[in-house]
Amino acid sequence: MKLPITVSEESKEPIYHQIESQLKGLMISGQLVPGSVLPSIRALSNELSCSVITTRRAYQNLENEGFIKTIQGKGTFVNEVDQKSKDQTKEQVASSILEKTIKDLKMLGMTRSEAEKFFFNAMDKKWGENHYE
Amino acid sequence: MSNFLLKIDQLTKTFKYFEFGPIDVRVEPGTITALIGSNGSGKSTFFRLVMQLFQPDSGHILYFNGELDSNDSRIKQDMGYAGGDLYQAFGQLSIRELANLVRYWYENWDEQKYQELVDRYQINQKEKYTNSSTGTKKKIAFIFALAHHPQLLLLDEPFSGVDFVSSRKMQTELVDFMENPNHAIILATHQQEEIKALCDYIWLLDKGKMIGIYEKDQILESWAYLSLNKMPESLRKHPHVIQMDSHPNRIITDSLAAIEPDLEQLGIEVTHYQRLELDEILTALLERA
Repeated sequence: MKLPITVSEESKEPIYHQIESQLKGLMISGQLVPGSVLPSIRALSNELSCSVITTRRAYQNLENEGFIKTIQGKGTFVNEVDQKSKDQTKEQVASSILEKTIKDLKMLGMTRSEAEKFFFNAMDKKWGENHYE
Repeated sequence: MSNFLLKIDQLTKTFKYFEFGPIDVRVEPGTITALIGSNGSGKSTFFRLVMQLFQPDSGHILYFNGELDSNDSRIKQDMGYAGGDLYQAFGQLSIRELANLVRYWYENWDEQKYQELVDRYQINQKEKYTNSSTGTKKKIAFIFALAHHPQLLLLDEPFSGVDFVSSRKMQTELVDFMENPNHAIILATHQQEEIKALCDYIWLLDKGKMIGIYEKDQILESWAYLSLNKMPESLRKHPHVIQMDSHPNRIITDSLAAIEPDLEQLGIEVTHYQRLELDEILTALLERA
């Protein structure tokens, strides 16, 4: 199974963290349902061209947080996550996406009000103009 | 817990025009190591010493947690080696005949596995070994190395001269091989894509000396191109600035973590970050040596 994960060459975010947050994203959005089998550490490392040290770290963190479970000799599986921690994670992932975007906008030399204008324009396009009324 | 497939201490071997070592390395189960170095840096010597095709002048090699005596013939049973045109002396044999010979050496030879691999790589077993192409010879050596279920695979340039499709298949084979947590691979290769996709550790060999042992992702995350909003000349003297380019202002650093606080203190803003390619980093490391 190939997971829709990509490691960015232009992000200072450590690779294990990129893998971790993208896997979380797949789980809370329901693309990875509870019980799904994750690729082995070696197989995912090969797909993403990273080392098993990195992938293992991502898996270990996810396991510590209860997102996945490794059964010796059987593989790694997606856990059932309760709504509360789903919501929490959603917020965390969302704010880290926004933080990254804001950083990029700052790098472009945008002021806050310019960025706000762009942001709301983009929101209007994607969600439809009436959303905020 | 000390768990290793290979532990090498102070290994040396002197040739007329080449001095190898002293080398200290160890290989843990579950890892793939890329052995990297220019031509003539000692990669093949390393493999031959490990395979006991050469006797070292000094130092020693411990295999498989040191449980087996280094003269124990089981050591070779548990190692799979492909490289150095091992089979050229038997070039007049057909591939099938050669397989029968190799099969005789290995207690764990798995004929079914061998057949599977020969079919997968579409090897014509009736062909004489010596008449096979370079790439086919590589594939045959690779198949022989895998067909007796080793724990430790030693691959000397396994992909060079091998076609793209077969090379992908070989990679998959190696990934499957590594599903057993007790296995490990040491791989000498010049192919950056394979190093990136397969390896966890990098050993950098230069003129017979091990000049660096790195965790692959760690150097990838540590080295970076940083575009800066301003670039004072004093930055050139910073120990972690490897290169400086103006128009646009950009530096290469070998330690992002070390340079970031210094840049901040100087009021310099990083406007863009980009990772270096692995071969750019390795080239810089080799040049520095």
